[in-house]
Amino acid sequence: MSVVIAGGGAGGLRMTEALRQRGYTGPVTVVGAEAHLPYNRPGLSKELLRGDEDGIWLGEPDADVVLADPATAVDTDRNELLLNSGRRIAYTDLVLATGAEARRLPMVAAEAHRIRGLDDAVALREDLRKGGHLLVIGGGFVGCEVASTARTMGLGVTVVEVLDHLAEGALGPAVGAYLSDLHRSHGVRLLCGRTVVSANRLTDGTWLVALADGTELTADHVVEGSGSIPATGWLEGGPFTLDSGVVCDDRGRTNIPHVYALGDVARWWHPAHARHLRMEHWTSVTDQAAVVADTILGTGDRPLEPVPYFWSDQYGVRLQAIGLPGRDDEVTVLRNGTRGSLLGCYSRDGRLTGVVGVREGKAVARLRLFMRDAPTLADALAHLSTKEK
Amino acid sequence: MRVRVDAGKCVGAGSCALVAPDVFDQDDDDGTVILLHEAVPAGHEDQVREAAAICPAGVIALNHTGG
Repeated sequence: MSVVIAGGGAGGLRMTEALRQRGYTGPVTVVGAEAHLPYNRPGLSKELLRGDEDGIWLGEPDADVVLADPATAVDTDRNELLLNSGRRIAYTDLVLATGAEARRLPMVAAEAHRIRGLDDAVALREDLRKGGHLLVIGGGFVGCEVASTARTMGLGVTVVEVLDHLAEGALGPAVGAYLSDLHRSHGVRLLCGRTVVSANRLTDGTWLVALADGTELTADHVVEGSGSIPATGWLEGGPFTLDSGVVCDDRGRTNIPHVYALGDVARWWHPAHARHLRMEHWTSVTDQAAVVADTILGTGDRPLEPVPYFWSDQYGVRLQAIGLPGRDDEVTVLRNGTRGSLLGCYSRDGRLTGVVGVREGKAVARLRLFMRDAPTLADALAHLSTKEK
Repeated sequence: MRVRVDAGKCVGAGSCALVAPDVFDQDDDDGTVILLHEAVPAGHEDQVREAAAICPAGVIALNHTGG
């Protein structure tokens, strides 16, 4: 038996750990496209930009590790993974964990920074250390975190977001408005509800960014945060079922026997939600790796953790989210007190879909377990108002 | 068995507090792990092993030399 993992990020590491924890001592090969050992990708927009490089490493997989040699195809007839170098690695079980790539909008010049890999973040850090003004195109989580870090480093920051609030695409307008206020209070210039029509670097190295309403902005540095797309390009034309990710069942199995997928590249069937979902949450990889390891080794059939978790750190404040809070869900804001805390309960047709908290760690913790039973919004509100243990 | 946490790298998912609530708690504010017992109480070893295995940030470390 030989397990091969295509992907040298958190997926490759957590998958190896899950196999070893279950007593598997046979060969594991981790193949990474980047030249780096697994690192903490969420930290790229925070710790790494600030200069805390030591804290970025996750550890070395207990495996044969191949770096800087991306997988280019799977030969499912011969059970071999093909690498860019021409090398072929035989597998009995293969795990696809190639993650996601930064989405690039055509109107933004290619020289703009995007943050997906460690090298991207290092290049941005070198620029931010020169000071000046940073313009962020896209006010999602990566854009928000880069804006926060750059403000902390003393740069002037402008964020252009097509929706009316920061992070509105993920969390809707109520929580989005809270985040917009947070950024404004830290001196970020927000231009929301505005569309970029061109962003180009001038001959003197500065940037000129034009908006649809005719506004022209200048900046020393530009970061594009336009979201990510699953890294499935290398699998196109092959035998795998692809649909905005590698389509998998609820055990991470693809349509090809002995080939699995997890992390940002995978779209698993989620029985609790009766649909396929791509979980772009760093924390989900650990849960998925446990399920895939159990499936490969036959060590168990425990289902996937049904309540996903993600977080975002901005200006020293942590936003926590559980479940699947949706942009169009109804949001009941429970507390918005003088401490600047926020607790938003998301619901659809009366059923709780997710919870977002800022400075509400205890409430989020109480609802995470409770959410496993798919409660109604009314049940959740009642649960929160019962006496703390 | 002894247990250590690197709270600075904790992301606040609370997975540890779900499986081993007598050993791990969470900060009221941001959900960061709070270690209640460095020396794991007898009978809680399996829970703590499970907590270390499922921690998404990998910040829980076990030390068996203490027995």
